[in-house]
Amino acid sequence: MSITLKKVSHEYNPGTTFATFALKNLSLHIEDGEAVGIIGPTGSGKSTLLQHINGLLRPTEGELEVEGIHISREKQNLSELRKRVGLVFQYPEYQLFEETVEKDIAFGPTNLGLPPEEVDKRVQNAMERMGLDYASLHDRSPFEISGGQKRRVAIAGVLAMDPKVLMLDEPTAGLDPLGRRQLMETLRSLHREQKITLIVISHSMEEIAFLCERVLLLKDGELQLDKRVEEAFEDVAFMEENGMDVPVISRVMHELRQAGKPFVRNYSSVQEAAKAILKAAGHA
Amino acid sequence: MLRDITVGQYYPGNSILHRLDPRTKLIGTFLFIIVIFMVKTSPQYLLLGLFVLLNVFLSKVPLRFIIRGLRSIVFILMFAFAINLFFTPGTPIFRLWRIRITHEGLRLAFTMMMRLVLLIMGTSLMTLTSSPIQLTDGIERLFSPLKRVGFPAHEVAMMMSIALRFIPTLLEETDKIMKAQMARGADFESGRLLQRARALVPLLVPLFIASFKRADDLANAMEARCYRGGRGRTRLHELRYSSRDFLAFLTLAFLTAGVYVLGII
Repeated sequence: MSITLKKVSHEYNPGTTFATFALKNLSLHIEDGEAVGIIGPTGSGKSTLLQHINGLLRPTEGELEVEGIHISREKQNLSELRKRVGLVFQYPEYQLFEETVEKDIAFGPTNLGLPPEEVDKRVQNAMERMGLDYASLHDRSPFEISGGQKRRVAIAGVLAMDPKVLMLDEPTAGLDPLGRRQLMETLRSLHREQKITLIVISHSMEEIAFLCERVLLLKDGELQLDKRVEEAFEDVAFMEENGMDVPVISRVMHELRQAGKPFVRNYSSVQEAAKAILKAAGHA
Repeated sequence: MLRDITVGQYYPGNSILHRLDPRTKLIGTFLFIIVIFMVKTSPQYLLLGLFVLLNVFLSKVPLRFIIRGLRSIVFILMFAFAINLFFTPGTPIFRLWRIRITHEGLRLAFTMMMRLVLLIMGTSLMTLTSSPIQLTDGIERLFSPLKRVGFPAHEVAMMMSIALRFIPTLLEETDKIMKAQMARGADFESGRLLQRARALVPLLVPLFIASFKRADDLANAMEARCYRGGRGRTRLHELRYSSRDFLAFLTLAFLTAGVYVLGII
């Protein structure tokens, strides 16, 4: 199963002065098990794209094929799709509403009509996958735990539906550095160890480099770039032209290359890059 | 679905209606509402309908946009229509078992519906063509004579403008939370009444929490900018009547006279 978009366009408020194209003629294909980062300036259509893949929005033109389910302008029942594709919105902790963490995470699987034992199992499993301690947290109110934990609970609520594809809209926005790092590690292990397809929107190029293998750059609803992460961040000038940035390490490598040092490839982690630099300097 | 609610929304523009003094629009709308309830005959309705359409045209707000706003009151419209249609005594023109439609009922049902439609169209035209700030200024100025007897005109106006200002924000937020819960398999559209009501809990709880938080933030932000009510406050844009407003009042006077005359003949 995979995700395919064929010439998808989406227009908000068609026929009024507010009419704007959020997506323009977008075609792309995402394979099973990929980790894709979506970057682009505010209002470039990133969130709109995610909502299409989840079936919350329908294309005004074109069509999608997500996990074997066909989505077009016509209305249809999409509960099967929602089961396979999980979407975590920006600041997902604002959607928490239940009395306890456990009940809140159970909301999704219960909606799927699963038997209570299965729901319990899913909740525990999702909490574990998100690094939340079931014993100490399950009967706490989701409103009295820390911000980082709230975020994890909200993501666990989506994971409990056991999706094959997990999409996150700026998952680390507003978290402190530690919470950020921990969440990134958790997401990476979800992808690497449990083979979940990840689609992540982020404004942090560091996070994209850490988490993703492929990066899409959207601007004004159009796909500007679709490359592997290392290649994408090599072209510093292109990224800057499009209002983006590159990870600091890519910039360092870029500067070194400019200075005539023989660093051909980009490194996605600081450790690797440090090693390569040390080696070139004759220290290792 | 939520995007359909246009009540209280502002549609930016620079039409003659947009440029009218907000006080003119407030008083005008008030007069218009009174006139609506004076109206009884079809020619009168026709005149009022044309007047509203003319205003829509002048405002350059697409008619579709305003009609979409009516969609949210379709239920009330149907209800009022049915009640009047079936429960007005008079000369029957149709009878089926215990259901009876009278000549008077049919008439009343139509007039009632026209009234509601014109009412909503007229008032939403006012909010569509005036920004919340203009409306507040207008309300405050209109009520300021009452300040002498202790009426908190400024505070009331401020509260109203905050309420108006947050309608679109709350709608947007509702939309977002709905989508987030739908992504978790929530179903807001099917099921029986009780089920549907229960399905609203995952929407209402987060919405309430967000609203309280927003109110708190806003209060803090206002206080941080030394807001202390209306006393001694000056304005950047002083409201001033112009010839346009005179023209508007004249038109309204003619409309009222026209309705009155049509009512006599």
